[in-house]
Amino acid sequence: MSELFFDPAFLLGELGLAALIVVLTLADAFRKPLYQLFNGTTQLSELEYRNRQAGWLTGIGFVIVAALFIYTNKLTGGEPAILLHNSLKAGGGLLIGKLVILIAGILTLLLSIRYTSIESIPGIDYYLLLCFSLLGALTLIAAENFIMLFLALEMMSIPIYAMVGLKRYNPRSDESAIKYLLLGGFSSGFLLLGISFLYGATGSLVISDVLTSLSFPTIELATPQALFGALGLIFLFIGLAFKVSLVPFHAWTPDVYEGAATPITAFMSVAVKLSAFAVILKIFAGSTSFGGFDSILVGMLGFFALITVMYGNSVAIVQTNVKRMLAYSSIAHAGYMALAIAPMTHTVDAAKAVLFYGIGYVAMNMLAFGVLIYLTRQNHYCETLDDLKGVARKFPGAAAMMTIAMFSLAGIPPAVGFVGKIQIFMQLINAHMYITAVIALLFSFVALYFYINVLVVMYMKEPDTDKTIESSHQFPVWVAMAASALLIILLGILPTPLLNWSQQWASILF
Amino acid sequence: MAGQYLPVLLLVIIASFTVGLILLLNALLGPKAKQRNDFPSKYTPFECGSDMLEDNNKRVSIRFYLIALLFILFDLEGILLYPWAVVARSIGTVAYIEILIFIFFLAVAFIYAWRRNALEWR
Repeated sequence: MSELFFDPAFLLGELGLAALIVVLTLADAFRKPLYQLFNGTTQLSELEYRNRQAGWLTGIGFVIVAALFIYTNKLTGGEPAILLHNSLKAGGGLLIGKLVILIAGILTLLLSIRYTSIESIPGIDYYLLLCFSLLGALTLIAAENFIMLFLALEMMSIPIYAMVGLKRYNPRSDESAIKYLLLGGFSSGFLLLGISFLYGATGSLVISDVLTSLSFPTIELATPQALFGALGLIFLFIGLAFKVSLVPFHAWTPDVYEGAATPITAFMSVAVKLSAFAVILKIFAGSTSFGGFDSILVGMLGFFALITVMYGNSVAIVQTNVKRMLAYSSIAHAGYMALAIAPMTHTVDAAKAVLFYGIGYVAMNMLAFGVLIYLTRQNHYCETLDDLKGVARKFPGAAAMMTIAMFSLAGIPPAVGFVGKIQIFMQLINAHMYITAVIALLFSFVALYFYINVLVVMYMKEPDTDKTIESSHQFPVWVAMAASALLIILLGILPTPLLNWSQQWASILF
Repeated sequence: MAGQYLPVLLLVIIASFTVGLILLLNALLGPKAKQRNDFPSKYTPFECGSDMLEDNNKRVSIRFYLIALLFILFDLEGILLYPWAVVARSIGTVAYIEILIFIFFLAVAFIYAWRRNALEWR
């Protein structure tokens, strides 16, 4: 791996995204002249017309950024490098992670184009915030330095605090934005405290240096250095666990997921979670073993992960709101992902299992939320189980999509969720944590109940007459749903390419 | 050795002199209060701004929030230019290009704020 100060060839995608942000900002600044320039003979309202304009502009930008990522790979010959004095890693397998996060952004965009008009959200502000958040996530998974890590984490989170509150006339949305902001700030405090303890213990902010000097066999366990190192690692873990919503740091999740605009909920539940997990993997599951401290970490991680799986899956059963149900299910899924690294084997396989699960989770959660967005109409939210009654008769396509999503979330073959769960449980079994594996497995049977319940309501209940109005301009939502469904099935039947990709991504984290 | 503190001493002398002069001029030329009620604000610690003791649950107009945000925009720009100016000559052209990029991004943000009517007191 080469060390360079700065080489734009490695960061083409990020630079492209930054350029897109500038273009969008200027387009928003001059939106009135632009609107008058392009306004043909359209029957749309000004807001809707602008939202579509902004949506397509952002979409073209995202496609160009995706192309730049692929071009970067060609330009650098797939070789990773460390840039800016040990601040950023770039290139190589990391490009896979960046592409996955960008794809999550593109799917969010496709789901948002119509939804923003329904909710009277000013589209271009929304897309700008989405771009900022994406740039933060892309930097976060590449960060090699704690300062860069913290900056990227905030760059990813702060736009999301604002996006959650974008349904300005809805008190629930305001409530969830404030809740997320306060708890997010609280978790950032923990993260910073952890970083400062680690700096105090090791005298370095470069992640690999910190981990090397904390490989505990080399230092005495009862020294202040080891104590503050251990405290630092624990606080760092707590800060990151807030972001991925592990129990007991999950309390914000259901309220925020329910109050936010549905595409934002989808984005939060996949992109934020995946990039935060990439950081957890880099620090806790990396190649550096913490010696005697490892057994404490096994206990801590295993306990949190198992409690998370149990809590998420049991509380989801009693939910009548589908968004809340999916929030609890996302808590449970975070628990499964954390279970894979709980044995602290420090192998690429464990990281590979988590990343595989996370990438599969992008497709299935996007599909589940996509169906809810597809069924949302003007003045009619599709959020509760009652709203889904008998939807299969009027919208068989959407119901079929929901079936695929629910089967995958529940882990039924041939969906990608099944392969992901096998990877996770293999990690536990290889580490001889049989009881943990059995409990987690039993709770994934519990999960079967509430996932299948959605399908029962959709297919076997009588529909309400007033909730079956057709709506126009569903094409982008269809594209997003079809793409995710295709990914779920294809990767479920032929998981090998995705396994290879997550292997490449995992190996660069080490 | 002690000679390098001479500027500090000069500063102290000039500052004391200036302040003393202003106080003296105030005493000579300012309006005189015959009784306490003539100038009530003369008896507060600071003769301008808000009162020292007041309810801290006072409502503040949301418009100040926007002003504060914009202040950060310009403040950041100003404060980063100082360290840049110190090292700019020794780094050379690279520093010049980098600060231009930085100012460009701030300018974009400024144009955004301006076009979205954030600079108008509404």
